[in-house]
Amino acid sequence: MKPRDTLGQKLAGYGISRRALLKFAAAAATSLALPPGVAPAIAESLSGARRQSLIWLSFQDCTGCLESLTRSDAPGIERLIFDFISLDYQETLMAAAGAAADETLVRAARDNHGKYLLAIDGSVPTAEGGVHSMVGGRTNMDMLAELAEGAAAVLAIGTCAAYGGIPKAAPNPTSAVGIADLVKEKPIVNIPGCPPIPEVLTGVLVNFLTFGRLPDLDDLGRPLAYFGTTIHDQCYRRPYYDQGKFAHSFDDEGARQGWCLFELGCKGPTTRNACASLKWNGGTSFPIQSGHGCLGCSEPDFWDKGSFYTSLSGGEGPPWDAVGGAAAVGLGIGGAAAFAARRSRAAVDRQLAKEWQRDHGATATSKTEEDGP
Amino acid sequence: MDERDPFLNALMGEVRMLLSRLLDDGGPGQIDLMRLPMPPERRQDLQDMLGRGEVEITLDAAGTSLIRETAYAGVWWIEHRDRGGRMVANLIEVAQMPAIVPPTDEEMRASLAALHARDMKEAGR
Ligand code: SF4
Repeated sequence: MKPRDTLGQKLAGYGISRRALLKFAAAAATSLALPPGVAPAIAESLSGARRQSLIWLSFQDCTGCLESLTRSDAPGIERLIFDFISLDYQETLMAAAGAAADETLVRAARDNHGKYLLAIDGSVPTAEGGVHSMVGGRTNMDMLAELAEGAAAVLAIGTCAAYGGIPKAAPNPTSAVGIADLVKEKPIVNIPGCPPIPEVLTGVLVNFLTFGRLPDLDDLGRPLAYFGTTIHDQCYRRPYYDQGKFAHSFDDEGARQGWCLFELGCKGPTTRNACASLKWNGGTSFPIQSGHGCLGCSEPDFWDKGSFYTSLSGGEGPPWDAVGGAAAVGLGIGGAAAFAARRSRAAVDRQLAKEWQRDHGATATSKTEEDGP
Repeated sequence: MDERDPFLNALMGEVRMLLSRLLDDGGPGQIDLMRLPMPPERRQDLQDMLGRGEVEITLDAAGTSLIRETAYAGVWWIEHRDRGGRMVANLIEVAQMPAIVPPTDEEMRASLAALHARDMKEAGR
């Protein structure tokens, strides 16, 4: 065997050692909630995979998503994923402009027809034929229709692409919508967040490259490995919630003691995302750890769900009956058993959902309402 | 050390099971600690329970990793960190040697070829 043909040599050509790849695979397995024993298989598939073509379009957005995914002082290991993909088109990052950029897009879509992943950040304005956001004289609507047709799958990156986000907020002057409102024939994975967490994109790409398919999704199209639990379920301030200890202002004694931010408007109980476990800025912190409640930015219509500073129960504190029950259970059995008892947090969440619906006149019935405890 | 933590006792039971399986030739096993409810105190308790062995390896690949033998031979504590120092994986690996450590035959063959080329170059001087 020629040395050039070996796995080690190929990876060395990308500047990645076998051990770095195994390490990346171990981190990816952790991130995707896969058994750690699959890490060597992930490494093997990635090293054998052809570089995946990725076409990335930016629509009606603030570019914060791209900033979040590409900026880092000390690149995390998740950035290795960029060695396994070929980012064939991204207007903000590419050197080409004008006609040369257009040609790049046409060529990438033609050469990889049926195989490329289409990533989109930003919502799609649909009012007046979509003229509110155009690139090179073409509306986002047209570009989306054409490029989604040739894609293997579509990644809606950020809350705007996933659900319309801030452009869709009332009064939604451009009639903005999310990708899934327009693309019906292709698999779509939503990676919401304003901005989204970089590791989630890495996890989705690793899943696709390793297993040839998108990860399992929840009923809002989000990867279950990252959006399977609420912020509240993973929050380190949760014991204070269970004990009924709340900060009432941002500078009171409760805030100084690090108590629960529910009464200051925290949307953690109704928000699914991985901020509390993966955190931000290289695992440094996340909003609640920095003293501010969760805004619920990975949920549809988060901008229109009332003030960020009004509690989910309408400013009157949490549902005390449910909290009292949870606190009693937690205090009574302690330790790991208490952790298991938190599965019954669903009861608290259901109560919150009920109050939310009562206060806001929402008609949707939470799925968990039908589930048993 | 909290010997009464039922969660940690269950975890130690899993380690024992993996080690017994390894000795029965069932192959190596891993436990992913980052996916378990492990606040810092419990993590420290677990480290205390496992103790320290004689071997400690530092791996420098896309960031620094710590690979440490515990007081139980064949049970390894692994912390993978990225270049920013953030822990990206925390595993207990039950194996004679963690799989990431030994070089592969391919790598050693490539090294042999490189050494051979070096010898040829020296001989040609
Ligand atoms: S309400 Fe917010 S701060 Fe309080 S425990 Fe839940 S997520 Fe954490």
